Amino acid sequence: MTTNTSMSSFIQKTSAIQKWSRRFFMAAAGSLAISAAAGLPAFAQDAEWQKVVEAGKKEGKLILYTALVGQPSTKQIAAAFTKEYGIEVEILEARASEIRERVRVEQAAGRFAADVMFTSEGQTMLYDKEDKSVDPLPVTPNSQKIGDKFKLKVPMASVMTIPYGIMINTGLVKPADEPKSWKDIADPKWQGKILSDDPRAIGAGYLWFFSTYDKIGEDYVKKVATQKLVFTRDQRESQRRTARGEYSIYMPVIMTDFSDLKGLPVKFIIPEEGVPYVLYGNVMLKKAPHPNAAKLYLDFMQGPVVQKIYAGLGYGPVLPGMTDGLPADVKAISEAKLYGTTDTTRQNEMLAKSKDIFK
Amino acid sequence: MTIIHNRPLDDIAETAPTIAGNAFTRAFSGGSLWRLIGMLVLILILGFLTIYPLAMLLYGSLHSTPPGMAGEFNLNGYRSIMTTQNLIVLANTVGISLAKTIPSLTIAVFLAWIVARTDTPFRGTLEVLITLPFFIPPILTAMAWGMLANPQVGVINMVWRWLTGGTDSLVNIYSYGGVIWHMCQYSIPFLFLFMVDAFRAMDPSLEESSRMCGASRWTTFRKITLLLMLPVLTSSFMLSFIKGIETFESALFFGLPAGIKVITTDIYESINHRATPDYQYATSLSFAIMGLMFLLVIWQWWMLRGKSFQTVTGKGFRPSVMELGPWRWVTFAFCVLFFFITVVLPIGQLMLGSFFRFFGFYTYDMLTLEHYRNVFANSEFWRAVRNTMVLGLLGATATMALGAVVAYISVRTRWRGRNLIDSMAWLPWMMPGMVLGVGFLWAFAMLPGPIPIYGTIWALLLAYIALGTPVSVRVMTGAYHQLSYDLEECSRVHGATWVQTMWRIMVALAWPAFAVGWVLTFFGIMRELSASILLYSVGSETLAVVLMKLWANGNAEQVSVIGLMMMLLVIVFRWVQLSFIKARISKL
Amino acid sequence: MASVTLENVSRMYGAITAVDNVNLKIKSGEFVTLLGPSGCGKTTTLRMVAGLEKNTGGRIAIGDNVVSDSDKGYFVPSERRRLGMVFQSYAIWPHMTVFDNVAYPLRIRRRPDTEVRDRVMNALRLVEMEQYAERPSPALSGGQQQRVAIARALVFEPEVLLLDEPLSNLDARLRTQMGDDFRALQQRLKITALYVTHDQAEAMALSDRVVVMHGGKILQVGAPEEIYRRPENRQVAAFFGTPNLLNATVKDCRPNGGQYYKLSVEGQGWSGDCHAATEMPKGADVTVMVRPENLHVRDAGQVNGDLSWSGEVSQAIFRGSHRSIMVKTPAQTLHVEASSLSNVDIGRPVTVAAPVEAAWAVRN
Repeated sequence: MTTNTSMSSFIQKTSAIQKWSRRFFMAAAGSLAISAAAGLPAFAQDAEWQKVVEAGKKEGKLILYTALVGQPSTKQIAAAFTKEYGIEVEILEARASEIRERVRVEQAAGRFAADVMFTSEGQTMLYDKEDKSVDPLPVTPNSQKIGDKFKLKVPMASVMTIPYGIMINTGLVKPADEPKSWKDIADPKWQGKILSDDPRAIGAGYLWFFSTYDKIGEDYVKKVATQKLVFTRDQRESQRRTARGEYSIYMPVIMTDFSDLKGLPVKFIIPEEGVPYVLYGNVMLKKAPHPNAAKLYLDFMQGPVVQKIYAGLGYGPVLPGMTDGLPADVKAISEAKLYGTTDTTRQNEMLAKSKDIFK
Repeated sequence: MTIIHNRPLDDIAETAPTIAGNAFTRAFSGGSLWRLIGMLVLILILGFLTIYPLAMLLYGSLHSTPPGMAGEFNLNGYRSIMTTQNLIVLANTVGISLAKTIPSLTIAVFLAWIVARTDTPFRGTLEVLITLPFFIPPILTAMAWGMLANPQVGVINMVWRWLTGGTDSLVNIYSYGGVIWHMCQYSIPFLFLFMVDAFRAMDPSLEESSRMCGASRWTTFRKITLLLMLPVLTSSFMLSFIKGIETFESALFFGLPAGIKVITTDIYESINHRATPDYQYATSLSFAIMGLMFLLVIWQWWMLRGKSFQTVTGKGFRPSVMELGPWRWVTFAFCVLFFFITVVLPIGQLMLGSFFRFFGFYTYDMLTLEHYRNVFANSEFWRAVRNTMVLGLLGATATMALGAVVAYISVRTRWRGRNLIDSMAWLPWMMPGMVLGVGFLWAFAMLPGPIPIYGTIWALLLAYIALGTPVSVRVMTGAYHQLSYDLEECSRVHGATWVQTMWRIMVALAWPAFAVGWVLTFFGIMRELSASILLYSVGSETLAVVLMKLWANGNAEQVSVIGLMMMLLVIVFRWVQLSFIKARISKL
Repeated sequence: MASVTLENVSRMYGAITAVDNVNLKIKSGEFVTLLGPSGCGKTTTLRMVAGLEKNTGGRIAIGDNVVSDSDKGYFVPSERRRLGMVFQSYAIWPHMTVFDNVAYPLRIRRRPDTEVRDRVMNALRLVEMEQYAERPSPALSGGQQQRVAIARALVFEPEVLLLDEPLSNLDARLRTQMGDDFRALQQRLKITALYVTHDQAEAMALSDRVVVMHGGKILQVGAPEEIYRRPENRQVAAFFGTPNLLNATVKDCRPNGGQYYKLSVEGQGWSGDCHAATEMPKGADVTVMVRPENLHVRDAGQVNGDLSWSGEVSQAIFRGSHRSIMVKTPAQTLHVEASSLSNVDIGRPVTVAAPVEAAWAVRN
């Protein structure tokens, strides 16, 4: 694979994913065949699962709602799923609050249109507690294999983590001056030079605030607040602005975007403390019209095929051992130490705190 | 006294006239029953499109939870918006909107006058070109202006520093001025399009007679031209001012970094950036704003009450233009300057950027056609184009037809209920788009199961018609105000039914306005995201949804490619439309 | 062509009565003019016939068909009344050519193209506009537009032709010419025409009958000459020109052998005979109308059996075709239209005389 060289454009990246997924799909299919042939008790309810597979194939269709907007990987995965099970996937994308309201209203009106929702851990809590629009999580073969910290209390089948770090403009920041950690952001030399995602509203900036407030402390956050941060709410455009030299630092940045910006004078830095992250996964929506296909999809997303696809893009996989053989830069991001994430139950309190600190 | 006026004439009874026609025509001969039925149908349509979604929102504002969830009725929403902070934000919003509406209207009036009433060279071409920014998605022009006028490395500031040798920056787009400027980019072309045909349709003799009475050119412009344009001007002002209060992109993009808050960013935040979306707060705030804005509508009724603005009379006129002499080069220069600043600068950036890997990095090795290739190879894009074209063509036509009927009834009849439908048609304009989108979602999803609207393309079409109706009604109202009654009555007397008269006379005479309204509506549909994202279903993606996805994924260059293609489409539309009008005018 | 009948037709706008109980029968082929000052209800009456306004009382019939009956709530909309109309503003549609304008009533009725072509060209030929057929209509002069409007009104041979002050937008010379042309056309085609004007000269010259309206009511209906010479009341008398209206008392009244009565009347400082339409009791107060053109100025004392007044010349104005002379008499100042050749010195004592046939008495 040559992802570490000049392959930065989107189209090339896509083809890389295709290659990756094809390779691992074959591997996965192979191992499945072997285990089936050998009749190993890999999964206690093998026969039961086989029934789900049959029923899912019979359903033939899956309606997927996703809150992760515009990601080419979504279609990639859907295609791989279709190839595996012959089940067509129809995808509806919208931003988190929009898609949540759609599901809520649809269910309230008795329209149970969607099977699976791909969303974040925090949103899942709302689906579960507020809207009561999700079903309990099914036990599937792969759900047993994922890392223990990704087995959640909320009914979400974890799939991957989105890591957030620091981005610098290499034209404006000398290598010696580069911030190495979240703490370095508080250095007065960056005053007025930091573009930041708005920490006062749900989003990346708030994620940074939440995790550093918890882990480093209020004093640190207050110190950063004196840095005259300039706030934005547009991730991708802010990366470009920083690249064009409006600001020296943009934070927190979605680390997986690094490959999209290859060729620009920017550097993505994994902070020493670790990367704040958002955990994404699938939930089963209530009265799903294709419940078995939904179970298959949940399982598939936690399987090696999809996990490899996400790891190859820099996301943190929930299945161990998926980063082997990745290019060094992707591997570093994909394996980056997870620093902390937000807690939905404390959201109102923390948002108020953020609004108070970053007036 | 021998006045004999009441004497029945002897010969009156010589033949006994009888009531002719069959029972059916007799029953409906008065037309009042048909009129009543027609009016009821219209009220039902408008009610479904405007009142119903708003009623759902009203429920949302008065209920502790959104429709479909258990909760209780309370006034917490309205209580929670009564804060000093909101008052400041409101004052701020109104201030920004006024600060953009007044200069926009002034410039738009001036441009419309130049294009329609003077002999400024190349005015035909200018007419198409100066409106282009309106048709570009706001996010793109925002990005372009961010690149041009950021204080650190903005192109304009770099040039300024190079010229002056200093280190100061000339402009900073991330400021009040920037927010207003970006809003003006949309309101000036919009207002210009809205008004230009009203200026064109004016009988020059009305102005000439004022000049004959000794009024100066300026006084004539002020006292005659502008006053005759009062319906169009007040409508323009209201449309623009209300839109200004609801504008969102400019404030989010340029205002947020500068700490500028407006009502819509507050609403946006309450839905998208709170722990749980607070629809009660968002809808309450929207209704409070709506109440204030309705005062404007009443103000306009009061302004226009009992006056006549008919400038197109049955006597016919030669649409002549004012000869400016050497001054025409001044007006020409003004248009060119306007074109350069509002079109060439931002759109030039987008065009240039679309050929490079990244915006703003214009080096030889970054040159590429990859963005074009990617867009053209994107099957989802083509599907969205197809969907949007169908929706746009159907939607714009239906919206304009509805607007023409509503405007006709409200302007040219004395039917009972005409004010009701006129104000119903205003409603969607007064609700911020993102809230109204939720209203449509609630309204269509909550319809009884057998009514197949939600989840189909019809949901989008109906939402678009509702969203477009305010503009279509305003455009047609302005046009109808100008037509004298004779033209219409003459058609009726000579055997045309009401429908035939509408089509062959009223629509035909108001055709330029109809066409402009159509283009505005069409591109409104093309750009609409707030409702689309909540109503589209798998396979019925619209262009705006695809653009949003591309933008969210950081493909700004591909978004530009699509934006530029939309612009190309506008040029084609406008060219067809204007050459059609020209072909007619050239015969005069 | 059809007749038009109005029976007790009224039109109320709220509490205001615009047209009050009008009765009128227009015979087939007749040219009737509604005449009156602005606001007298003439245009409203016309518009009710056209179906552009709804009568709030009474019924209207065109030919043998009732088109509007307010009691029965029956109303035929304009387009089904088979009318032609010429508007004050002509209502030429600016987005159409002359041909299209004229063809409109035919095309609306879906006539075949060849028929449309023939009839439009015929209509245009009638008004001598055939060479302008392909012109865009706004590019026409006022007179040309008026001809187009007439051609359009005639093209499908309407039951009745309605005209709403069609000449008022033309200059004086053109107005007379167009009026004469139109009258000739109407007589040739035998069209029933209802014409609205405030111009008495126009009404006189064009009409078979004139309907004088005031305050929403019909004051008098009659042939132009009858109305001019034998008005039924003072208002009608005063409406045409500037007649001399003298107050007098009836001394004697006797039938004249014909339709009229012959009266002996006495006014302040004068007395004599005149005619009246009805019998009047002795001692009744009447107004005697004498038109200026029927008065003659003679040397003082010259009397020969006619009505006469003595006085002195107070004013004389040369008007080209005639000379207006004001003669101050004990009764009142009399207005005399004399030949422009006659020269009269101011202050000269004179006798003003009129033939008995020129004096017409109406009751006060």
